Amino acid sequence: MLIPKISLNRRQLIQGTAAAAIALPLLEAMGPSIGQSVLAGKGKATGSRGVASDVKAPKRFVAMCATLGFHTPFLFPDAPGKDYTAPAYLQLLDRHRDDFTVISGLSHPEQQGNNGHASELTWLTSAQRPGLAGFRNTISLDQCMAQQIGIQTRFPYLALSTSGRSMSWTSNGIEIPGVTSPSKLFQALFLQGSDKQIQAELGGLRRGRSILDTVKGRAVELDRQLGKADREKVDEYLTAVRNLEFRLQQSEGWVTQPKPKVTASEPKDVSDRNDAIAKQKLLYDLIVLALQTDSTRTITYQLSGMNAVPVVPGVSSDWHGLSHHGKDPAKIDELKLIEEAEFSAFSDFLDRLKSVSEGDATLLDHTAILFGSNLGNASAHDWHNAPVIVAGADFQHCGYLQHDSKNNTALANLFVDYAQFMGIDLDQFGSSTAAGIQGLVRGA
Amino acid sequence: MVGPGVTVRWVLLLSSRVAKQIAVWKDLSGCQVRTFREIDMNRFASIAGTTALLVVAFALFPVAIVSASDDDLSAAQAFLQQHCADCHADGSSEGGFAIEKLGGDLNGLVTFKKWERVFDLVDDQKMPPEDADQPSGSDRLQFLNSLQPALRNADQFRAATVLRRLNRREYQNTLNDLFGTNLDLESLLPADGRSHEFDNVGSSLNVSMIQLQTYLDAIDLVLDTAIARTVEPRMPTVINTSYQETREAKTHLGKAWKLLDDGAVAFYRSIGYPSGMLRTASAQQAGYYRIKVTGYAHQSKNPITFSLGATTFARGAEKPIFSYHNMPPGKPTSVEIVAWMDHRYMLAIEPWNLFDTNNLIKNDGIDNYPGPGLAILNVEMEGPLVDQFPSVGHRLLFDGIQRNEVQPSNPTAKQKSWYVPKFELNLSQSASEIRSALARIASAAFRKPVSSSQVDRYVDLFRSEGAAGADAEAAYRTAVAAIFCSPDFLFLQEAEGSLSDHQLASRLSYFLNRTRADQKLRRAADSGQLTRDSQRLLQHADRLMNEDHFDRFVEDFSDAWLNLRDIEFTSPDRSLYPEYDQFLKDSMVAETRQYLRHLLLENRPAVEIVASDYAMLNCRLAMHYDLPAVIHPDVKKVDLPEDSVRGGILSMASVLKVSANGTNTSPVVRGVWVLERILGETPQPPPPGIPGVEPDIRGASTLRELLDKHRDVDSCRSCHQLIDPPGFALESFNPIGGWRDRFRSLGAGEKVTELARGRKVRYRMGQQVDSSGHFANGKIFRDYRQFRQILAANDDRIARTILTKLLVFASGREMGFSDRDEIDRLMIKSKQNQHRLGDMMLLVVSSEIFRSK
Repeated sequence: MLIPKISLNRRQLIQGTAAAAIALPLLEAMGPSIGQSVLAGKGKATGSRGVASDVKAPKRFVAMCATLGFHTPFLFPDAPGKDYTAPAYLQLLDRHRDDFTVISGLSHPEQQGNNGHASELTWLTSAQRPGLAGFRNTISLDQCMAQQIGIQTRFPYLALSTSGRSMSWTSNGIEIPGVTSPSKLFQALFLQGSDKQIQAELGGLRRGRSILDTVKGRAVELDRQLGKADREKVDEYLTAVRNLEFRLQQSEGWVTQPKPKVTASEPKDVSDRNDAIAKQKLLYDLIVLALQTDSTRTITYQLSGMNAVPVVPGVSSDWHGLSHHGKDPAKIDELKLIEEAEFSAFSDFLDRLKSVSEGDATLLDHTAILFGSNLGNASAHDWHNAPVIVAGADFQHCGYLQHDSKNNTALANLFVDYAQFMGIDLDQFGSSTAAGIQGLVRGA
Repeated sequence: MVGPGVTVRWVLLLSSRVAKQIAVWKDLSGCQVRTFREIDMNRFASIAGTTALLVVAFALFPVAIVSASDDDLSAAQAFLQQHCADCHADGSSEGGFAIEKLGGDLNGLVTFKKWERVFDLVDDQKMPPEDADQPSGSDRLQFLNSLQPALRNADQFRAATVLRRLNRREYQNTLNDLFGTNLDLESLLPADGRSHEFDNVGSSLNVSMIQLQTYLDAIDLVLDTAIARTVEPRMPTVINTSYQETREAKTHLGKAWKLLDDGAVAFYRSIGYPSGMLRTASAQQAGYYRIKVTGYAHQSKNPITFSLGATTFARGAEKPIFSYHNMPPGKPTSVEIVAWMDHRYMLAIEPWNLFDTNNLIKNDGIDNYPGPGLAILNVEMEGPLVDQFPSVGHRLLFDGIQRNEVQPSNPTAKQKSWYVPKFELNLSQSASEIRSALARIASAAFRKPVSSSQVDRYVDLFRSEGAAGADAEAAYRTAVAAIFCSPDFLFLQEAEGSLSDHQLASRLSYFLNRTRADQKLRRAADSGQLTRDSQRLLQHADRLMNEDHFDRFVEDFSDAWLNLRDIEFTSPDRSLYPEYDQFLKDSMVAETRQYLRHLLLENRPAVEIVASDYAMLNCRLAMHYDLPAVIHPDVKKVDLPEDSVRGGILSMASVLKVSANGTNTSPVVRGVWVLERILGETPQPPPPGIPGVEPDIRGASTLRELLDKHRDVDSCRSCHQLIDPPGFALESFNPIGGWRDRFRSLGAGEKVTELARGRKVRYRMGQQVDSSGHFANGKIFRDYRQFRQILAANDDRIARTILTKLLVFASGREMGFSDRDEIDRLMIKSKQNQHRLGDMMLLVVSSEIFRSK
């Protein structure tokens, strides 16, 4: 008999511990922090802590990356400016024409990696030559922001994903696992525990700190005994211990604070793992709630592709396979159905952000959105001319902005704009060559 | 000695002092290998101290050159001036390479790598290029001589394994083995950093609070699972059932299924609906189950192949297949396996390769259907099986500690079904048993003996937790958790220089079994046998290769080396490759792993990596490869017909699949795959600004034709003349590893009348495949067979590749310039007996590289 390897995740669901296993990555991606939640305006779901209307609305950042690319002939219009004839995907966004700019001719330099999809590791970091010898990823834009402003909200950041892979990377190049479960996310954001649960949670946090304190003592001791290269690794470990201690300590402060109340009820996770669009939509809804309640200010959301047939009417082929359409029109037609569904979901997301008013403006006006992909032409694994849509915030949106498709502008230049919008004091990020990109101006 | 941080001084050896022995391994294929080989390595033992001459200023090239012996300096200078400057200096930077920009600080890795490349290109006679004036052999040698010591010296300071964190699979294995659990901890942790294809290289394994928080949670999960919750082991439940009893029988009997006279239910079609779900064989608890299926092949002279797996009602959930079997005709027979079933999963049995192509069942009714079927009479399922009670983890924790059930206030409660026992620790006044238990655990976790003072901090934690109000068991668990979050557990620590016994034991065990040393190896380390007697080390290596956990080596090494970890990265297009099914996927992975295992354990020569007169096959693969039929569903050794294209790794479906996407193949991707993984050469990535070639499967032009244009560009040629030939040869294999003379197309092309999985195929036959090519040296091959011959004649190079990769995987560090001498030495030994792979494993273990940090 042929016994194939039992796939690892088959072995996971030990009764009674399964919940703990699933909850783990969630906790990490959403380490709470101490700080004063600030909410301006009178959104529908104001936090229980009340909102001072004279407080300035916080700035938020949300980034979405579709890892299998978008077929750009359906995205980039024929002519620059606002009066373009909308190609298929932009038709779905047409009601927001004044609120976004679609940009071509951007990419991070030197994204040739160890495989055609390596550039998805670096979309928010701009580190070069992903996956090749000596590669080590750098901090992602959201984490760079969270380091400075994360302390002000319950969750310093959220890293969300439809697959578990995320776009958020720590400063020493570790990928932060993405939260995939809307219900778990909802619970963490809004579900108030009982006193007993809160006490248990506090006990757990204190216990964690005791453990860390113990191992820290050992690491310090070890540090003195080792050679230089080894010591760097122990130092990295020590930094990890101290960061986690700090995070647990902050969490203790938040655990006893009441969570914001929302009218929405806990969503039910999508049980069909191939129903990619339903999954995307549920997390979009929660992003709106999280921003609205000022539970966090930076969110990354990976819209992962699949090596399977997604549940989209009219689609019967494997998604990844379709992205390698090889110019076959039938495949491109099917691919278009999937990508249109993604754009529809994104368009609805913009609607929801607009529907929340904050002071004289809307949540969308206070949120800088980056939507796009690491692949400009997925069929050839080409990472040049990445699809980029900038939406919301105080950008002076100008329809279609064309940069040189042969000699691309550094995408990280745009990241500097986002950081500055968030109040982060920097004029350079990753591989950026300038602050901001030509043709896109802030200060609407 | 030159150390890190010290400005590099160029060390120049007078070539007259060097008695040179040159091993020339000439590559028949024209992918030339180094002609410059130092075999006598002792000469260099004290290089830095003795013959070092500092090289100064190459007037022309501003590389950090400080002072020099005139003869050699001027010779080297002249060499660069004469042979390189035209294209790579004074503003010229062909191929993005300018000597002025090289820099001279070899302590910097980037600069070092560039100089190493200069060395290799000159050594391999790839530079100066063919069409340029060639230096004389002695000039070339003299130039290399002037560079080599400096490179070796600079690299030696890097060539040590950096404090190596357990990667997530090693972490999982170690905890599961220590505690007797079977948890998926790997998927809780973020992916590990890789160095080339390996994810166990110390310098690439970082740690952040993300991992640390998971470690905190994961050890609790392990302890929860390992610690007994009952006083007595829970008895496994036994289910005895058949399809006839199920709700599905009411729907399908007489339509898709047929009830036979003996009560068996027969299935006639492998089409997925109705599925072979057996609702009544359902796991009420996750665990290992013994599963026994009884039946026979119905209306068939031949055995019927079927799969045994599990399914669930959860939509989109994974549905594992445990195994494939044959059910022979005649009297009912049984197959029995043990498999892991998750909670609420049900057994599923599916016949393979049965189709009612002419719709007879629908037209004539199932009772009149004469075709073959799989008859299942009865299924037994017993579990979850209790291996040991309490678990090894429980005993590791509580041996020597009194842990008793707390008697409920109402003794009759114990009889109730809802009763859950509570336990408490009854400790002595001094709680000294806690200290000895923690010492025992720390010694196991840290993979070495621990002193009493090393346990102090964990005992202190136990006490302070107790003082803070935790009960004894909770406080003890916290102390245990700290042990498994400490750097002593998480990192493989190795002191400078030669490894100690315990460090060697860990290195060996993580290499071959991917986990901590087992008891025998640990005892050998405890008694100092491994350093004292290298034979003992080899004996243990040999033993570990024959342990069950050697499967982990085969899996992890082939995942990395051959990239089998990406086997599911793409799903083949269903219109183009309708014959692809899960049985094929499972079989192709099994084929490659079995083959590698066979090469290692049967000590086969390295040439069999690319060519052999046998293959590891089962019925599915034989069909896929269009070979004489094989009956057995298990993958095993089968002799191949003469001149078969199969035999060897390059024509294996798994390898051909991971080097393709689901729709088409690219000679470039496959060429790079062969260069990196078989020939041991990492081609440079394309220079920035070069657009890739976009595949076009509409049938008008092949990717090869598109590439031809691309390759004609000057800047592309030098790499593509290396990359493309193996890629062209593999054009004869489609993305799922089937042979092809013509490309399949969904557009233009000739109609075909093939059937796949009982249905007419939709694809057409497009362009003719051209798998001919020529190597950089002009050597021509007409097709894959000739290509393979050329490759097979080059077993030294293949052996060197695999040897190097084994060394990386075993030591947890990349091999550098300064390791070349040792690798040469191992190669000479290995060559004496045709580079046999089992021998190579032992050579690796006996090497200085393996036995030093």
